[in-house]
Amino acid sequence: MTVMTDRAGLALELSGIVKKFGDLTAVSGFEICFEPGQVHALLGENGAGKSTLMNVAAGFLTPDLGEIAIGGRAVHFGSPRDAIEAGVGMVHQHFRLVEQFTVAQNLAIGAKDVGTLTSTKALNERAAEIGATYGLGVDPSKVVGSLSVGEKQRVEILRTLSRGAQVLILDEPTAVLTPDESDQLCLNLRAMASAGATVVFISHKLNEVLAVADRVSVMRGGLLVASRERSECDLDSLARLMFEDVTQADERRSARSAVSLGTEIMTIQDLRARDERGAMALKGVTLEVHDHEIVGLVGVAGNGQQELEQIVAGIRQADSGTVVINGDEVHGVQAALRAGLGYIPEDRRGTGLVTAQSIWLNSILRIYKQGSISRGVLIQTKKAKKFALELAKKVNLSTADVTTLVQHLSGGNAQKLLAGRELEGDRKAVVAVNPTQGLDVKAARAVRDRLIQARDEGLAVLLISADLDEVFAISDRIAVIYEGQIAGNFAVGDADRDEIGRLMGGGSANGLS
Amino acid sequence: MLRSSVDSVVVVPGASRRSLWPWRIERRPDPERIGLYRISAVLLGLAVSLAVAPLFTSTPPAEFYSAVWLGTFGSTLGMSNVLTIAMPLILAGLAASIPYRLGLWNVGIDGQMLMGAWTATAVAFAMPQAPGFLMIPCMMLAGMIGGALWIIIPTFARIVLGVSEVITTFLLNFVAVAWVAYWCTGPWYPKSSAGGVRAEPLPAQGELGKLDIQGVVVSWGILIAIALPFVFWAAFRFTRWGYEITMIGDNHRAGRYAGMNVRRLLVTSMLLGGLLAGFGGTIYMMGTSGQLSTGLTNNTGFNGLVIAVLAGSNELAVLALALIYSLLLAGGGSLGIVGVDSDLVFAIIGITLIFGSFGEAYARLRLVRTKSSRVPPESTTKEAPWTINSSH
Repeated sequence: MTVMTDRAGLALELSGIVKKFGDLTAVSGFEICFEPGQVHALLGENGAGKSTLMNVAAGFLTPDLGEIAIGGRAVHFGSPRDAIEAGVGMVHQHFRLVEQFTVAQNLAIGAKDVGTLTSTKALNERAAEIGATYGLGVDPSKVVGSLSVGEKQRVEILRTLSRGAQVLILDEPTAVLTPDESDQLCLNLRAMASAGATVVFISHKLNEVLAVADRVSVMRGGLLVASRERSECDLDSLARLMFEDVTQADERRSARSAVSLGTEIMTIQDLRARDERGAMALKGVTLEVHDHEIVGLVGVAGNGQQELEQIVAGIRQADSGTVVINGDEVHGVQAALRAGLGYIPEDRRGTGLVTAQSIWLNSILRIYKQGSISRGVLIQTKKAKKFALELAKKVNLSTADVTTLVQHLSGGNAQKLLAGRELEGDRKAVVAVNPTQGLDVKAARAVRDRLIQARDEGLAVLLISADLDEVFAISDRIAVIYEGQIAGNFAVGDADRDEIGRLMGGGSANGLS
Repeated sequence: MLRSSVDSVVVVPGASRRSLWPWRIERRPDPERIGLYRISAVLLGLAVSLAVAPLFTSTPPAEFYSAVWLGTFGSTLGMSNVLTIAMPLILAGLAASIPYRLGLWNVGIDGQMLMGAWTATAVAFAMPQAPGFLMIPCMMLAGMIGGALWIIIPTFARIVLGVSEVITTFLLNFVAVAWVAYWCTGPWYPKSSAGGVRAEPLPAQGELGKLDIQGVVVSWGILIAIALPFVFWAAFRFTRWGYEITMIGDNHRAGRYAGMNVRRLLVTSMLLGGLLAGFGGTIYMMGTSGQLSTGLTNNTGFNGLVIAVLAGSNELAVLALALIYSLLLAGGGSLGIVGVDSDLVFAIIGITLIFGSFGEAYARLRLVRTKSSRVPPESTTKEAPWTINSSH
């Protein structure tokens, strides 16, 4: 291969990269080339494989198969350090800065031109020089912990560039920024590209991609579905590419037995809440779920779904607004449970189950205070074990030994146990969050069938999912959440995939609502 | 959480790929006999350290072992000594073990024991004429309250402000010693001094009676000390409170998801730890020296912490380990008689406990031979001038 010395920048070529995590194939092998002098956006849903692919390119992950070439030369990275030496640097969503150090000190970490004993003054001068070189102004003497998120990101980008990165990969860089900071970042990225750098911009926001990119590649399910020049792209076509059902999923829609809407079981009224950082995560969400109904709430992760599910389940408090379940306004976990709410959280092993404990201890996790299990302060272990055994039989668990630890169950069986626990008994409503995530096709179908069965038994089901196929397959109504607001609410028959994709990406509705 | 630190020992897959060492550590799929491994490891460590110890002394092995024997099972005095040492040690083990179930470290057990004993002494001196049947329960109650009060500040500093309880509980030990020293040298200065920083002895009716089991003499506090591990063992298995602690101990988020009041459970477990420590200090004082002193606990609290960590979340293991520990302390004490530096016992204890902690690792992990056929991915076999072969 020839070394391309005549070029200002370096092209990054990835061919046939395959990366598996256990049974899951995150990236399944295709050709993609990132040219110098361009901002190349990599677009896709959560879990499409974009971050995995770029982490491979930047040496954070080792590919199972495939080749990386920089400026025409094949390379092999054992670590991010190898990658940066070859000219590839990546800026992650979570910054890798030392908060207690100054900007200049952070820029000096790992730098080859900085000796062990270098004066603060020299470090500051060096940092100012770096800032000037790349046109990104930051005060070298400021402590990083005191900077805004946008400024920290600038330091992170500077550090990557100053270590010789000619290919700059940014993983969802605007997710943490304010709109103004995002605009500034986009200008900076454009300027870098004009100067000859190769910029890779990972995102799932359509508008922003259209604003900044020269070229757009769309990933879905670990595959590259399209790679086009900016001029050939528009919002609709990108939304379709991002969310289209390429696998023609083997799901069949099962018709709802009830024809007309029944009574409202779950009523969420004008809910407002903040996230951990104090920003408004929910800006007035109103949503109803009737009996015999599955409402699929779709949206790109981080648009308020987590806050919403936690408030409904009683784990988090809202600033204002109400949640009514089966006629009772509920506050707190116990009240929600008493009103008949089941809750299947996303993180089944981290939240929904205590994996180091047995099946029977887990099967009573949410009902251990109820009269059927405890008498006074005592847990009736015989009744609890009998309950667990019945539950295990009902959900067809792989084992009938209820003293088995949950960590020894497969993902599908753990989810069966969790879903069974939340759906059995006198339930009126259930919130299920990404209930089939990480499950194989068979296990995923079992969970979906169980939700449909619950719907047919009369439960109100709120399905919060990032999987559009799943939502289309089993929902009766589809609502879209974007930046803490319901951006659209459709009966499934009226729902149009392109329209929903557009709403999820922050586009406006076309007439319909 | 600190307790799960053993899990994180597991080597990153692939890290050993380029290494010459053809073995890899991996997690056992079914680590079910942990208790068995742990106990046998402790016993193995005991055997090894006892076998090796005489080599480091000038005392003939026969004399060495006979001294250890006489200091423990070999005489009624030895047995009395073992049980007397075990009494506060079991309670200290529980005082560390219960907060430890939730990932909290009670490093201030010695201070809590002293403050419990101080509070009990204050109560006894306030009612010097009261009959024993009244004074003894009042002192025990006061001891529990004193111990619990001494852990209140660390508890709330941790739960409300996030201040590490390791630091606060530990440093309060020194405050407790200073406080007791003040009272022993000031208001409660004894009429006849017998060396050390000691307070005026307790009224006679405030001392615990002795049991005499065929010559083995020990205060009846030992009965409470042996019963309590069983009480807690049952409480953790059969009560709602125990269920909550068990589940939260492994997963705080699941606790919140189930609607448990996680903060309240953290507070009660810490206070219970302080209460048990205060009670232990009190019954030890009432059953042995009969007077408050700064040296009352003699590091029992730290020994209890070690026992709790080794015992995992099993109160019966706390009892068993505390008894083994007491055997060692008593046996080591009698070595002084044959001219062996009694500090040697701490080496023996150390080796035994190190074996014990490796037993835990052995139960969870195993060494497997890495496959020599393992080759790097195909693409890297090509000539690649930029390749840098460094492992992480």
